[in-house]
Amino acid sequence: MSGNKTAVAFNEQNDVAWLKLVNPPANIMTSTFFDELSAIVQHNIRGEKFKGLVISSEGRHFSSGADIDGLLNLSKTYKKHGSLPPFLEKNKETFRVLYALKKPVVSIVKGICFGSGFELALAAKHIIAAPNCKLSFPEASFGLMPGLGGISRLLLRTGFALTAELVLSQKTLFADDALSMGIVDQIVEANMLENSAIKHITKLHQFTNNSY
Amino acid sequence: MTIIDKIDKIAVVSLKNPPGNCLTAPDFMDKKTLEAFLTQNKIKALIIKGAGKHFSAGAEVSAIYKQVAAQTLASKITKGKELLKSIYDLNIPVIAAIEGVCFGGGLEIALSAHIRIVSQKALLAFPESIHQLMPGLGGTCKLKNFVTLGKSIEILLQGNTLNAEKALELGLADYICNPGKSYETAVALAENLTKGNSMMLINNVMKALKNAYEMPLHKALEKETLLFCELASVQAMKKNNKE
Repeated sequence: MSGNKTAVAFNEQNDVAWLKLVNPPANIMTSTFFDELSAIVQHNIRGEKFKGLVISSEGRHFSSGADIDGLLNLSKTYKKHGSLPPFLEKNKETFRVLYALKKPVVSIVKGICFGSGFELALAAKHIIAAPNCKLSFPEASFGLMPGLGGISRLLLRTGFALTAELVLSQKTLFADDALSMGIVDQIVEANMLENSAIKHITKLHQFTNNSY
Repeated sequence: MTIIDKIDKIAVVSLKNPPGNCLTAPDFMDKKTLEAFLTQNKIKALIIKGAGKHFSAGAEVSAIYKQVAAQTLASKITKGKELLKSIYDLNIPVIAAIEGVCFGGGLEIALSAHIRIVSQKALLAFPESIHQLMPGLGGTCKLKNFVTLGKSIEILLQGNTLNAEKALELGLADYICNPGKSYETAVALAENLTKGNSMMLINNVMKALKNAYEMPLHKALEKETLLFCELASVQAMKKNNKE
């Protein structure tokens, strides 16, 4: 584990890099979380030699998403200056880099995976879910919409109508529905998530020989 | 004749010309009337359906020939296209509830909705080639959003009829329901999509979805930030007022 991160940890094992949400049980994505994630993405991920990256979580859940109060407080502060909140651009850029990484990126999701947690999972090109996984965009219940590219990336996976339904009706999806809609790529038992991610990365690496 | 009505904040457009709800003109309703109705009633979702057992069998060929004779075909088609575009451009969810036959111009209307619900007995087709014609309201261009070029050629030149299962499999339809239930299903979906959601939220989400659908990812993401911030500033203000 690198440094003294409180919300997200980074390490490398056998040529696979691991991004781990380490603030269980809910792994709430606070501004500290985003700052730490951004630092890791800037310093540890770009141009590194690992074969692939896994986004994972400690505890029973992936993440319950952003801290809404914190977000609104930040919005308030920046509103005074009449410009877009820079933190939003920065967080979006972090997700964009993950999505554009020229290596296999795999999210392994279990338990609750809501809001920006769901958006983080969608920043990977391959999503493996545990059978108990629940996916949802609850932003609309706070008068908000997903703001970190989740709408665009979900639409690429499942199309217009289902994306509209998920975002506007705040419906909670279970793993098997998510699989049949193409929102997750694979379902495996919770204790097999990490191995399945490594398997996927190893397989792609074999075929692409780092020219992914 | 086209009827417009509403249930609470959901507008319902019914294509009515029994039995097949054939379209007598490409502009099957007045664009301004529709827009005014939606604005005045603060409508949050629109459902398009056929009155009776069918969605629409499309244009009457005789009507097309009449317009050729009167030299009004091109202008009529342009108006029809403007109407369909204005429907697609709405920033509220537009749902087509499809029962029975949905052919030609009828299918083009359905494809200008954002969401399509088909009943198990629905049939979709572009049969224009029977009359040595082709779809004239953007159907040829819209197909590419759903199916491959190869499949589009087959649908247009062979005119084969797609049943509900096939339409779902190809992505032409988004939901399938029991026969006779497409309207109920559409109302339930429209309620789910709008319940508790402000107009601004619905508008911004629809804009973001359409951007994501039409623009390169980086552009859509850029626009999304503005849409998100607009909502966040309203919510932040509300929070401020409470404190």
